[in-house]
Amino acid sequence: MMQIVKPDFEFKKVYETLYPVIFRVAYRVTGDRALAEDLSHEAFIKYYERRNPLPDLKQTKYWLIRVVKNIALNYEKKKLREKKAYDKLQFKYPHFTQSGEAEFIKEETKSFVQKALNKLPYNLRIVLVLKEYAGLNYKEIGSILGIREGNVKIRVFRARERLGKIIDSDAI
Amino acid sequence: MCPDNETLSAYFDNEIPSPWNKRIADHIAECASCQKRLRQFETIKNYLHEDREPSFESSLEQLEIRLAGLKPRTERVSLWKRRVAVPLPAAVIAAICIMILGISLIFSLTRSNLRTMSIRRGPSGTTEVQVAAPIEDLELLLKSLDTYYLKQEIIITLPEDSLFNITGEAMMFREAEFSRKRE
Repeated sequence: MMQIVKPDFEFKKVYETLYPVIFRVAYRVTGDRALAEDLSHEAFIKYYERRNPLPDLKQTKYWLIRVVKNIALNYEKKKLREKKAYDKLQFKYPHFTQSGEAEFIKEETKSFVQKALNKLPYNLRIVLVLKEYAGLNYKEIGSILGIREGNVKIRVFRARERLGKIIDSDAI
Repeated sequence: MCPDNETLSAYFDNEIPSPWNKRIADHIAECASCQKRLRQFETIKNYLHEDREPSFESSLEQLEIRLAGLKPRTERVSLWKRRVAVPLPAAVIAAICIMILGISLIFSLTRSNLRTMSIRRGPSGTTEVQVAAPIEDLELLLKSLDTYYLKQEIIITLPEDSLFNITGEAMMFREAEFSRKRE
């Protein structure tokens, strides 16, 4: 049984309240503004198309973060596959560069902190981003990522430790 | 004894429950090494938060434009929770019809289906017997009359008032038809 629900005040409230945090998480995980925008839009459109809206903003926030996390993970895997293929190609043809200049400019426009974050492996980066930029506690992070709280604790520390080393080495 | 790195990091995030957080706090107050590690966590946190992110306003506007072009949302509603808009006069008429139907059903169920029929022996018979017999058992009545008054002519006077069942069908007609089928 389907019933038409018009885009209402409730949904406007959802995206106006949660867009900043979802965009921030998407940007910090991917390190790419355009990609962060795509990810955030996709998450909100998915929520818009969801037949049963969630009861409160907190639940909605978790749901949207989970969607962003999943899309970002897919993107991460794709990026890794492309990098492998690119490395293989460069090994065969050392002079091959694929829009190398554009990539260089893109990297240069990123902040120092974002570059350091991007150097973290995805599973460490995501916990630190959710802790620092989404304001979630260990239990909430565990629930979103489907891991135990103890595991979150370990990953947060490792991410901090690794990030500290990256910042120190880059600062020198 | 110093807490391990993970525990100290969790303490920094206010993730250690009481009373353990108090014990760790007491230890840190006297431990230069733990204080140093905490300062490192603090530095990294500040580092992460000092960094400015790109503005999201134009991106939010883009989202609004994309949403405006989408089809209206659909929501799955259970059949039992589904609401139907009915004009008030139609609702009143429907309610009255249901009420009339209910009352007539109750009336027809409580009303006795025993109808009085008179049986005379004739044609020059002198006795007239009043029998109260259910209309549904007309067939049984005929059979018993056949048995006891085999050689006599019997006139059955049916009730003068008509009787209909709830669907409007004549009860006697229905029974007669039913009897023929059974034969």
